[in-house]
Amino acid sequence: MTNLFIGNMSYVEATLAAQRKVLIEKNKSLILGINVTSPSAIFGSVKGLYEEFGENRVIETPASENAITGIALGLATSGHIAIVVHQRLDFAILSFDMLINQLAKWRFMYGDNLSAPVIVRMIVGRGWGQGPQHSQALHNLFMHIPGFRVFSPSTPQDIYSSILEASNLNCPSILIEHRWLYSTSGNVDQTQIELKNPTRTHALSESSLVTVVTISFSTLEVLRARTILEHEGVKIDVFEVVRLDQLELHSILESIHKTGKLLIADIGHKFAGAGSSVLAELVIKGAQFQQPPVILGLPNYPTPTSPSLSATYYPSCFDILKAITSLSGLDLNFVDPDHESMLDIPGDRFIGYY
Amino acid sequence: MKKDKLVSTDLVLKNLKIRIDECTEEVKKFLLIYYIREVEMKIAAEYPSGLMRTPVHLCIGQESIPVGISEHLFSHDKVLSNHRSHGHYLAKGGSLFSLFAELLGKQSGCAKGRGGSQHLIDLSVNFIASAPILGGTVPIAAGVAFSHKLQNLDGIIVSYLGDAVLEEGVLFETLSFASLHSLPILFVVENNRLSVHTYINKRQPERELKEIGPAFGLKAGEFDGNDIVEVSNAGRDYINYVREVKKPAIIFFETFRRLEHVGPEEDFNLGYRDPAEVKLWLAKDPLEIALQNIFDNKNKVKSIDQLKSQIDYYIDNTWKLALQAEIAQL
Repeated sequence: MTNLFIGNMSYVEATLAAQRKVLIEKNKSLILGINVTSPSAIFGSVKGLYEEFGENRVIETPASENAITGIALGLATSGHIAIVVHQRLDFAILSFDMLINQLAKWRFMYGDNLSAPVIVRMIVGRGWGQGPQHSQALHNLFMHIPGFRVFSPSTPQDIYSSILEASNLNCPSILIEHRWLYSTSGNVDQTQIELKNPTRTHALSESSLVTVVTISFSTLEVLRARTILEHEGVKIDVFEVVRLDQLELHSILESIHKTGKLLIADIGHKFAGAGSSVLAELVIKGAQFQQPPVILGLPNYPTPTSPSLSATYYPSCFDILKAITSLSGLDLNFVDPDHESMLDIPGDRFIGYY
Repeated sequence: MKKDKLVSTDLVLKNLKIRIDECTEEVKKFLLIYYIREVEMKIAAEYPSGLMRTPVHLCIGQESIPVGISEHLFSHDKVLSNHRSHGHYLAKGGSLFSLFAELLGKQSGCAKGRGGSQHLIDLSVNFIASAPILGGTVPIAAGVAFSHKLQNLDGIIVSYLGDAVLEEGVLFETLSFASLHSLPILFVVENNRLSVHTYINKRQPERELKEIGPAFGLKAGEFDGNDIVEVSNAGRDYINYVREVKKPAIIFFETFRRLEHVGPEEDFNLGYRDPAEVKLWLAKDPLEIALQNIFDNKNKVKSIDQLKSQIDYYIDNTWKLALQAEIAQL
């Protein structure tokens, strides 16, 4: 039986479809941002919406990120659902006053008398020399601020469901979208208007040797590693933490109980990052390890621009393979699967989700 | 869309059980200033008891401004404010009980004890929010005004800010956006020349403040914020402009903060204030000016004392009720 609502979509198509559904179904919803009416349409993620819904629903804004965030909050307070789009997460830093001092606290500090359904989309850049101010993955900052719902989905289904879930909340949401996910694709059930699980199980097996927790784009590198490991007969459990403001760790704890080994792969800085918070929560909830857990993330310096410098900056599939081999104590040798490619571009290997 | 056309300050007097049909405009102005003054004096008097565990930024000396503005606002007009918000809140008709209960950390406080003095709200009279971060509510007020514009709603938005917000970038982002989209918003700048203990001449270049308005395409003017007649006339003109022309405007009022930045005391002994300035402004007390205005207009004043004690009783009684209210719980 075919279902009209289930089909294959790219991540960017799912992002677009979800926003379009919000605009159609909620007549007081709107999208604001710099370049949301431009021909490039934020990497295509708002393509055609301005033409379809007009200038009162898809609103080009001045380069005033802080005021625009406050204006979005004023709109939300007046019964609108406001989607604010930042072509780079780095640009949203200009709005941290409004985000942290006002938006996150809005409902609480007025005794739940006001609502703040603002959805802030932040795109994380990587590669082609994006450098120090076009590539920051600072999702951990938003995890730390009470009041936000923070989504960092890696699958088309989850970005679709996250946007729709956010549109039905009276609190603000932060959406972390890694740019390298945009061309990946997968099945999307458009009736799924809430995130099915805050933590997505990608791989689970009785005989898994290592538990791997992923965030955002790192999920794709881990799943590549998983395929390579499977050829060697090695199994791993893979869990992606999709919602970062409230960690759902039950399935991860069960897996650690079985494997005793943990690798966390994050897209942000390793030190005091999202990975550290996940690890701390796991430890507090009783996780016990046979080996010290490993976190793979970015080193403690800003993103360099030259491809030669970024080659060692981002954890690669090869780094993941080495970490898993070391944790599991297996005597395996791998060739770096990326040894022939430049790590500053995503390459064809990420077309199609697996 | 036709809305309730009740004037905000008439609502305040009605809540105080004052028969507004028996009051002249001059008497009404005086009573409103008196009400705000006495509420602030009550807070100052009770503050040392330690029951109000929230920083209070009292508006004694600045009461004419919210009165002269709210006189021209209707219930459906909306107000957002800053840390020195008690006068703005009360002049818009904000519940005195909810204010006192909030200061006392009670569940029936306007923000359920979570916000205190710096986060007043009373949606029943469209006092939307107040917040202490400089310029914090300025773009949010513009967002509320944008909603009015997009939905073609009746009513205008007033955004109160202090002179230090003229040093914050978010104000200029907001003025630019408000002008670009012709938002129905009036920015009311209360210039008491002090940011905590620092005079404006150490913080800002010498200039005509009102020149900021036209630079962003806003109608702008500067007035004496302690003279209720001047405030009221300016308030009427600028509010009518925003309402009818449907464009934003900015209005600067010079005024004087009688007390310390935060807390119930005077702080003239700290020595940072210019004595000549203090002398000048103490002679321009809003309450005295409002009283003189009654005499100037040859109003009968025999009932003023009775009306004042009626207000005093209301304040004292409301305070007692707030004291008895349940403490806040999450």
